[in-house]
Amino acid sequence: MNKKGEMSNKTLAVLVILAIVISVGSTMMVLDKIKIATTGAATGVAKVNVTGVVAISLPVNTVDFGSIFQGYSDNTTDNNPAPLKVQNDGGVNVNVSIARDGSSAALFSGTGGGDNTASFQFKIDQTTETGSFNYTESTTTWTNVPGTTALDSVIAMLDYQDSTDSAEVDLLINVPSDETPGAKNETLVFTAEQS
Amino acid sequence: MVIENSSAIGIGPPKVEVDFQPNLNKEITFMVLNQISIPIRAELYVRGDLAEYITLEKEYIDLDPGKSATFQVYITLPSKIDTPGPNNLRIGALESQITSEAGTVGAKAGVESKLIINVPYEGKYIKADLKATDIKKGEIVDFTLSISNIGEEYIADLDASIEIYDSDDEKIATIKTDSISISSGEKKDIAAKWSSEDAEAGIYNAIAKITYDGNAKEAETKFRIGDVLIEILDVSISKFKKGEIAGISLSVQSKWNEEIKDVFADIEIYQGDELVDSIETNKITLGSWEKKTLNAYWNTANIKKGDYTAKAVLNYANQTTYKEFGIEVKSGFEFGTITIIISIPVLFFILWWIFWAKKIL
Repeated sequence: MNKKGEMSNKTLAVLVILAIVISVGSTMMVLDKIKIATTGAATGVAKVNVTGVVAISLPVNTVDFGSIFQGYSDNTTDNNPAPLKVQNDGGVNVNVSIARDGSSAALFSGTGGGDNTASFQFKIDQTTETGSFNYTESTTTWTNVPGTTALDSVIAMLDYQDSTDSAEVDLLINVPSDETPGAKNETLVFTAEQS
Repeated sequence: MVIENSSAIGIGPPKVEVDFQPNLNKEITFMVLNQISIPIRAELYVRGDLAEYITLEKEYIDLDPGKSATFQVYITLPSKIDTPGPNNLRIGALESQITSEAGTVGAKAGVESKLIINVPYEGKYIKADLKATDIKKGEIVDFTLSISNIGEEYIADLDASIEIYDSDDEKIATIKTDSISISSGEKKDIAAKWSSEDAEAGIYNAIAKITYDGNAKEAETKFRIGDVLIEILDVSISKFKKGEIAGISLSVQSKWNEEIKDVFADIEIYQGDELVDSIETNKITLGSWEKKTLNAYWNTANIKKGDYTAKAVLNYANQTTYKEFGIEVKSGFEFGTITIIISIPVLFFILWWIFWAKKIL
């Protein structure tokens, strides 16, 4: 510095150069570290354990027979009303059982009504997706709907592949001749387990 | 009234097996899922043998659309269980909100996962499973005998003889496995090999006769050598002229040691690159190694005279074999060899008569 405290041009130049060097040098060090961080080939391993699932749905889960007189019958084989439909939405073949849900009573209470009677029957049938299940091993003839103790494997070996994964459950009702008039209902439970 | 897609539920894993150990405490994670577009409540339950030793973390799980959730199943076994073998339980999930409306029959979905607790049998007891690889002719068959010791006791010495039978139930080979020892609850595989160098193509049966510390058990499996094959030996065509029916016969022979059903051939007939006609033979069943004939008939009423190429495709057991051959369609009048042989002397006689016999006479 000169006597007046002013910096000489030389000193200024040195300081500027020093500042540039420090600035550029720091930047390069930082960039270098970033480069190391981004080019170090870090690897990770992702693991996944694929497990099967038992899953079913009931695309048609309600049948409404409308009004029927005592002593008369109806069924769903003419698709009026449409039958229940069970579909395998999981990743394994399943056997499906049927039972009356414990929260509901049997459909009819008149003479000949109740669980396990000819007043209320079911059978399994193919949908348009033929070959979805083992027809021979399934319950394909009219059978009395059980009570709360399930009938096992009424649908045997229901396939899980989308093109062949569904079955129909036809219902048949024979209204007892002394059945009291009024709205009747019953809830069925379809339970699937791996075949 | 019909409600679409309003009942669905899922559970996983589909099956869990647990080997009994006295006073075992074990926790297993299960999952329930909702795959439909409305919320559901899944009621959880356990049923079956030994259900009293199982408790569930939750009684129910509420699931939003498309969601899944896990829950724990706690197994607390006693020091001893009197029922040996597989004890079957079910871990279940049931939709609890679906009830049928008045005047209808309704349905709801439930799913169950199998939980099997394997209790050892008294004394020495095994479960055995035999597997064999399918091979090409001349290759080596690999056998794997899987052994599970499901008894209470250690087995010191276990080995097996694997007997191989052909389709006529004739024993053609026996191979011995190595000997192993196996502790209670343990699983082991025993490997064995058989060279099939002289064996013909076909299905074979293998029976493993297992002996273990004075006890015996069998396991069985089938395997295949080579592929189902039928050869087309020869093609013959009956004599015919244009406008007539041509009989085409294929002589075929099975190179397989079992019956093959529904064997037939498609025959495509070309003139140049143009497909002129397509016919089919009758269907037959070929017994093992049997030779038979397939017949087809070609109506040449609208077919022009000329040379044709035919391709016969033999169909059987999801496989095909093919053979190409030629067919010549000739016109109705034929200036054949015999005609020439007869007509030449007749012609000479006529000429002689005209030019020479008259002079003599």
